[in-house]
Amino acid sequence: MPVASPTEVVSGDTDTRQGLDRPWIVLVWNDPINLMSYVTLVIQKVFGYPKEKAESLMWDVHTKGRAVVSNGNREKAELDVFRLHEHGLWATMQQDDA
Amino acid sequence: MSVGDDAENPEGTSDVDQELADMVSDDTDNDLLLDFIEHGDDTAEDAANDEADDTEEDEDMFLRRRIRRSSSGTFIINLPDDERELLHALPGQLHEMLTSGDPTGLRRLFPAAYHLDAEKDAEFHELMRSELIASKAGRAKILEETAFARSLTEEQLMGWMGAVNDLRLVLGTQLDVSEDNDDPEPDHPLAAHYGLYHYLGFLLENIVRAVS
Repeated sequence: MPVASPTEVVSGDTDTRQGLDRPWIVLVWNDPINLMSYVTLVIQKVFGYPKEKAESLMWDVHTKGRAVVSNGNREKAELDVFRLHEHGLWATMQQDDA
Repeated sequence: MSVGDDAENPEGTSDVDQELADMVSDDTDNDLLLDFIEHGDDTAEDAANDEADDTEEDEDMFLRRRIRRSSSGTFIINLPDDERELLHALPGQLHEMLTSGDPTGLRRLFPAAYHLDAEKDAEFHELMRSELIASKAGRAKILEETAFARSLTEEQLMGWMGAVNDLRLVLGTQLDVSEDNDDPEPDHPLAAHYGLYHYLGFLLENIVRAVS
């Protein structure tokens, strides 16, 4: 079976560079139900962030409507979203625009 | 997001607790969450009548932290029996909703993951939904089985935390709670439902404080 050489794949596939390789970001959105203290604790536990960082992200969610809480490849982002959903946070993922 | 009721503040919780006691004693069937507490509607008057009978002992109960970490690392659960009966009864309602396949009222438990891509989102939920249901059902079971325990391991208390939050999400969705919501008047048809919603927030705040 003919196989494309690695150089052809890397240099020629703009779709890979602009699409699949772009990192994913995980967002937590503000919602009227979850307690602020609870959201902070969940972000701390799920990501192992220090309390100060988790609190700062919680305040971003509360005041700006959403915050990016993690990033990585698609599989990691899906796992992060799952764990946030497991704890009842309103989390989504999308590819980074940057 | 919302700010939890102050765990140190006895004001505003005694009526709620009285309502809860009446709700538990009034209802034994297996209907959904809102049906479960519908009999709480007539309890505001009872609560007002009972308020004069509150003893100092009851007030001490509200001033103390309900849940605290012991020196051995377990958690001491200091809740009155009527609240425990409620916490034993509610998970069954949640479990039934989780396993009935009826998404009504559960949308907040299973939000979109790919909010910009419906196709990927459908794939995600197909892969993850059963695992998510199993996780939530497992925590509901922990709460149901340990509702009368005087002490809990951290793992068990984490089960309580998740189950109480799920119950709060379902009830808050059904009540269409917003950040600007004011509590309804005591004679509002849903006053008792708000009472339960606030009680679950009060308990959750206690749990978060204990483990933080």
